Amino acid sequence: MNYSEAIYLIGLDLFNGERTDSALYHLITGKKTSQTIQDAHLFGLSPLFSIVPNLKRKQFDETIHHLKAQNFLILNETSKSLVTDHGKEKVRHFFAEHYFPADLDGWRYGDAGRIFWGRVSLLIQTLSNLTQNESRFFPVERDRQIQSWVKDQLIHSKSAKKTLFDQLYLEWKALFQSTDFPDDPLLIVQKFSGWNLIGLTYDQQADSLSCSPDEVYYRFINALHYSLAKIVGKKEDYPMLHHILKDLLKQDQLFTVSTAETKRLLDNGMDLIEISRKRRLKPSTIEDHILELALLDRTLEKKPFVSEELYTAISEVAARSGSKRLKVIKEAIPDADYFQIRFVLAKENGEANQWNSYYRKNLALNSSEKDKGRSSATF
Amino acid sequence: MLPTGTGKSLCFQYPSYVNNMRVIIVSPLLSLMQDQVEQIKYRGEKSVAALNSFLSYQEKKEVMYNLKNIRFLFISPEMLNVREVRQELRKVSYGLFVVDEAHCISQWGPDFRPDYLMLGKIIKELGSPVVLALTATATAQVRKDIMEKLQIQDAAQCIYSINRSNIALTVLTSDSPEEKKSELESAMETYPSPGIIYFSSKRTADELADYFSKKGFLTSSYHGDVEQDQRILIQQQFLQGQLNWIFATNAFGMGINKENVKTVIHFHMPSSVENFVQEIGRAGRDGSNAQSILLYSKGDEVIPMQLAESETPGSSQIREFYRMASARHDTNTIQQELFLSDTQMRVLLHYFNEEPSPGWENKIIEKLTSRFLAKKKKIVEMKEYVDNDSCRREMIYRAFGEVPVNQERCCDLCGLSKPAVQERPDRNAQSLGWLERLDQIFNRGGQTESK
Ligand SMILES: [Zn+2]
Repeated sequence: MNYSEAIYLIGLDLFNGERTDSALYHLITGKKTSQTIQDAHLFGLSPLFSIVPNLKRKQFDETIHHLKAQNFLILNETSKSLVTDHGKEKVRHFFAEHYFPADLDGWRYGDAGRIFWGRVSLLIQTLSNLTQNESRFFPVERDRQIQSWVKDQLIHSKSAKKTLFDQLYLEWKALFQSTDFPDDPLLIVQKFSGWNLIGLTYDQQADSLSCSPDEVYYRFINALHYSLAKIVGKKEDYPMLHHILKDLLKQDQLFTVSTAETKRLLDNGMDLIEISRKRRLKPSTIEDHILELALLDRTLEKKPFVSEELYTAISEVAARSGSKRLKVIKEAIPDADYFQIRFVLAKENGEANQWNSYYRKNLALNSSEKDKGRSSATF
Repeated sequence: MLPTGTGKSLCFQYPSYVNNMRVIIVSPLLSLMQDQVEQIKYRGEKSVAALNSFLSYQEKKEVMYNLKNIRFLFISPEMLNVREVRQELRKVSYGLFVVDEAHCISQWGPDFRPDYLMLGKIIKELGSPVVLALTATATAQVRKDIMEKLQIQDAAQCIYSINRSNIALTVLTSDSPEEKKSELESAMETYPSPGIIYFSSKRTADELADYFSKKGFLTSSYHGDVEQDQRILIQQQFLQGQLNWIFATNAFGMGINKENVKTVIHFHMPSSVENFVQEIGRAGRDGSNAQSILLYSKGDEVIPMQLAESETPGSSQIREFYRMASARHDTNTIQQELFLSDTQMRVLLHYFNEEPSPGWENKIIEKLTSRFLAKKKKIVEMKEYVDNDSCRREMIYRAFGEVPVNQERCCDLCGLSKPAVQERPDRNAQSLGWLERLDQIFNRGGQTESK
């Protein structure tokens, strides 16, 4: 089993036979539709959202096929994948020996993280060269928007280049030295390029950290997402890094455009049917928007959609049966319609972090064992 | 015609400044195009851009509607086939139309590109600017073909000798693939780096790069399947001297100018002397002594032979294709049902769109058969380079129709002195701890004071 396979298996295990393999593909490649966004939050898979945006469908299918061939996956009666006991055992075994990426947060930092990383890499390379009086170099980042962002920063900055460069150094160093930094800082540092030292490829890091390139990839993203959460959480300690990041974290980016419009009309006091008429969209589409909001917007009120009593009844049945299967709940509470059931599930699941609890419940290891999974890179 | 590494791009950059005119450069190597753009930017020229299918829709628009501010426009042949693009190109004037890798237009050349055949028409459409056809490798037949296809009546031909006198030529034969691997190892130990090792398969390049990297060599593989961000890092590491050996595929050029490449090794035999000469031309661009090492083990010529066969559709496939294409079947269906490779499909579609007249099948069968035979001849010629027992350089001269000239440091058959054993550089950059590495990136600590 390789690292991506183990990650996919956890994803499918959290789906619990209620979503197709395609749903996982859309989720990890970050497809921005209401359905995928709901899946991410309803099943606690938002950490994996947009984690491998360039993954080819063919490659994903081959991996899934390979997992089925080894009996790690079987199909249930609705032709959706279920992780077998054998598969679960393998995943447990795998993460007993490998580092688990508990800090992944693809939903918040997947896309923002990639741009942040492009900016930071290019800024460091540029400042490293300029402070050595070298104005000609080949940029490691070729994205034109990122290039012009870096140029703008350097033109408009009031501080001297040396000051900026020192500040960047101190902030990264402090970040890497935080006591709870989750992994080896080399995962990030080896990727930086400077005046006389170019960053390493995943393959080269794999050699140096004695693990596979795809493990390096996930652990790098994990360490990056941890860093971003830290920068956001303690922005006074990391002013420059926060400056690089802040415009990438827009609140309204969290919803799809259409959902944002539905939210606006809801806030204006319209109900589901009125919105559907006004926007000439099917009521079921508006329902999807509301479910997306239920997952992502803690302030969304339940009252317009489900009574207090019904809400409690549904959430109790769901908790008792441990199922997200709508049919089971519907049979127990015939009064509730499917939208109401999905609404309650969405609301209840919006905040839970199944990713980490999956780790604690199923892959529970004590900390010394956990450290074994980490690299033994030489310092 | 100028040998690789002798500054072909100067031939279109210089006139642009002297005559203050825009230049359009057609290039078939998409992966190289962005690198060429970066080279020119590196020199300090900002008004340069590439227009190809790698760009996002938004980026394409940005370039297309800003043409008049772009001094050097690199463009792929398939973008030239887009009508909207040609419309925009017609609105600005170009003083020079450059056809890079012009040998691709000739079906007698090893890298025939059917979409290059449109260029003659397009040049007319753009008001017939001066045409500059550049190639590092063209026999007399190919040169004649280039002029014909570009519809040029009178051309000034500048032909430089194919010979790169500072590159010494050696062939090392081995009896088995295993022996060849150890032959490669000792070559990497004795011949000076930096160097490039060419393979005909991506998999072998990957496997051996990994194998030698684990043995302590500073190597990386580099080919079309390596993601662009990783490729950029590898290029720059190579430029910086962090890597000693690049394991590349023949099909995939390096878009960077590394002047001090000392050694080019071929792990697999190239499919033609033209390709071979082009690839060894990556060595010794700074003019200092360099080497070409070709590793041969018995039966190696089978690989390019099979490749040539797989690129040529069979006559029954051609007949079926014609039937289905005439009945307007979907191209994907045709390709799947007839098991045609992408290359085969591209060639057939091209000829079909050009002249779908009755009797088409037989004409195409004849055309493709003669192309296959021509390729086979090229491979046999390359094999002659290996089997040769008088002088390897003389053989290359002959292949290009040039008169041989004797030189002191020539080839293993004429006699070469053994190179001194190289010291293996250490890998300390890859074993730095995080703080040391961070310090080095941020130019702190002792190492950086030297400059
Ligand atoms: Zn000789």
